[in-house]
Amino acid sequence: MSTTTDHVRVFLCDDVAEIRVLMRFTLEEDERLRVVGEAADGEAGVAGVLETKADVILLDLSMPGMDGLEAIGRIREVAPATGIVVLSGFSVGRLGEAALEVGAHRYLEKGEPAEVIRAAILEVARERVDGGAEPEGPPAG
Amino acid sequence: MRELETERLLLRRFRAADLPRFTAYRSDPEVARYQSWTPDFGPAEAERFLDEQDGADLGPPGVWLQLAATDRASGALAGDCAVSVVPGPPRTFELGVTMSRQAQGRGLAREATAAVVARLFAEHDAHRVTAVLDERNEAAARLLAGLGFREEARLVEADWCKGEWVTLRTFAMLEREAGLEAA
Repeated sequence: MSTTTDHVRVFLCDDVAEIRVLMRFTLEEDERLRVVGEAADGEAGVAGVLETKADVILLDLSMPGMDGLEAIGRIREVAPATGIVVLSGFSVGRLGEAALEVGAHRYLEKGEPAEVIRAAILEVARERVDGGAEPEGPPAG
Repeated sequence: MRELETERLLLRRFRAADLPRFTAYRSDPEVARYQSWTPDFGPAEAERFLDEQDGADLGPPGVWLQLAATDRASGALAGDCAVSVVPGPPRTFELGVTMSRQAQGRGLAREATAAVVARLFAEHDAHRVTAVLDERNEAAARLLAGLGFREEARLVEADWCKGEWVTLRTFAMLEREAGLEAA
């Protein structure tokens, strides 16, 4: 969590504008979460995380140009303090392991209840504050 | 046919990690424009595609084998090449190629197609390799002509695709014509 605010600063990265709108609304229903920026592809997502110093990025995988898997690696390089929660239409069985292997902290499937998504973001933010702890056990979702 | 290397590409079987990029360009209306498939392609369709391609190989007529065309330097998926055995005449193959919008305009489709065609003649005993195009797909027509394919026919409004009649152009190359690639 940011040292300058009590909120968890979340960056949204998904090529579907409607999903970004829905996620912004869904996340900000929880007062502890604040969406600080959004992007429609991986490259803009990496730049946005750097610019906004987001605590957590909620990241889609399938996007034009740089996809989510590549973006995860870049974010881990350039903004290692930022937590990465993947929110993807691909099943966890198919891409969960690949996403966690390249550095994501959680893998959620699109369609998960809002409270599960909010809880994952809060958990990852807490872990990062508590010393950058890596998630244990199998991927959520 | 499992793997081919070109100067800039590695053509190989699809893997799960290719699916995000594959889905992104398959659902791009610009990329889908002259293809037989529609851009309503999502993660579920992509996962089904990977299941269908698992273990697929050139053999059963009419079944498409799709190879991921990946950037040799970065490993990223640039597009794909599809090949199938044409039902009926022996030693006859059809091919297709798709590149993501980001990978277009760099000669990668030509590089991938040339490699597949060469492999079909060299190792699969091809007699004839064909490609069928929407006649509006001028870039693909130029690519095939540049590789030495002959334009064989123009089939006027021969296909019904995406709510309209489509005129097709067919191109082909015979084994004895292979190696006559235009400069």
